[in-house]
Amino acid sequence: MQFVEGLLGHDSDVIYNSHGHRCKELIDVNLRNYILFVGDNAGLVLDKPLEETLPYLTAKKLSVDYYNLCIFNGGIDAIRYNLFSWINNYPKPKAIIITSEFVNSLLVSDKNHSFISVADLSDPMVTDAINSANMNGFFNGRLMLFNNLVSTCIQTPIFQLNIKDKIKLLQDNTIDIDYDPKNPMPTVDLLVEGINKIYKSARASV
Amino acid sequence: MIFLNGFLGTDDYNQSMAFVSGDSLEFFKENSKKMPDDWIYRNEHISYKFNSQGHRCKNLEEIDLSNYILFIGCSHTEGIGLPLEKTYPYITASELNCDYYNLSMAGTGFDVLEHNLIMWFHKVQQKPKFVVIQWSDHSRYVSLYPGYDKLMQSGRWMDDENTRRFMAASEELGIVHARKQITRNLLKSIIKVPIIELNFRQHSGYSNDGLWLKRSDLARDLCHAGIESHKNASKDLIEHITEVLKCDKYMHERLPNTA
Repeated sequence: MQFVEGLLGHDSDVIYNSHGHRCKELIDVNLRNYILFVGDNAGLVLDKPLEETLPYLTAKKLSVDYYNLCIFNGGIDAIRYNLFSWINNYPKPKAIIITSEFVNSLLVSDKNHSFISVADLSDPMVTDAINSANMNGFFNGRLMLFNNLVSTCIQTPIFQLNIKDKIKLLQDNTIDIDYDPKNPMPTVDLLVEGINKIYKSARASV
Repeated sequence: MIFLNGFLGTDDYNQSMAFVSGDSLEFFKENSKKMPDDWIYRNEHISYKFNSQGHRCKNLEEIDLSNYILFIGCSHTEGIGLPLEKTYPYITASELNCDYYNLSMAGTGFDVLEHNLIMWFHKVQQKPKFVVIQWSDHSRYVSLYPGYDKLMQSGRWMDDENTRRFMAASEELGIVHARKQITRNLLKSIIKVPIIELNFRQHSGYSNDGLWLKRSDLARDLCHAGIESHKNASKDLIEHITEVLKCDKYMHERLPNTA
């Protein structure tokens, strides 16, 4: 992982743009009419070509642009960083779509902050840290802070895609849709319908 | 700790007290027995007055938002063990002839600091002249224990097995460094005014470009930095701010005492 111009992205790879995100270059995105994806693995869909991923299909059906801030195994820290850095520095999206498989991921670095990466789950010390963080309220506390920030600071409609047996990132003020990453089309349809409804009611109120 | 208007503040909001948990009457009585007769705190009245958001300063609506400094940190910056007028945020703002708001909360870490700063810049449209961030002990975090609905501070004072194991693993694996990196970079991305970073010597540092402040005397609780330390901290801070202001004519005009 790396920080590029205030955003957290993956290390360089052909599947990512210059910011380390799985979508087109930021400079090419129409930031006056776009939707924003934030999350981790479920929003990246690394096992499929870009054109078959949920963000791409949703944006295509809506005929809008999109930007995808999802970070592999990034969890809540990467989500919080990218979401708040984005909303404080870029024009507001029409909708924010959040999906997270691994809310309780942990990131690691060194004293000099010379790198940042995902904690290695095969390391027994990492699993021990995760178990301890579950018991001592660290994860719950982190989640509550995030929920409070999102509900207070973000006015843009948020769609949360919930995956079976995974922890929900946001507890309220979201439009919840079930999501099966192996079969994304029903979710894409519901998402398109939901976002279109918001577009329509916004137009009607104008 | 409680959410008040989106901010995290103390449960003692809208209250005025002579003692708070870290600086208790019990400690004071004990300390009085062992300290010399001329111990300054025998006669120094301390009042902990918390505003409606649970912070030790004036209410937000009473602040001159056209000319203010925003302070944030832990108990050092909240001024535990000291009268308000002897704390470095108060002295600094008075010397610079401007107002200030103090978002600090005793016993908290950089997660609360990040939360309150993001909230501030979301809710308060008028930006401060600069933000002074005093980084607290990096091992601290807020926790929400299973079955509870209220956040509480966790830190090195906790003695339960899970907290100690998590803190040890956080240091060993670098989890705490990643959290710091995320917070520091996020704040730099959000805050569009100069940030001045302060580290107290007994805490782990966050950056090489921040100011290091030392504890040369002790406050009433015989734990936190005392009156002289805060006076020196303010002096160092004002010198640093003056340097920063030299690069910004607009702010210089707004803070005439730095001329």
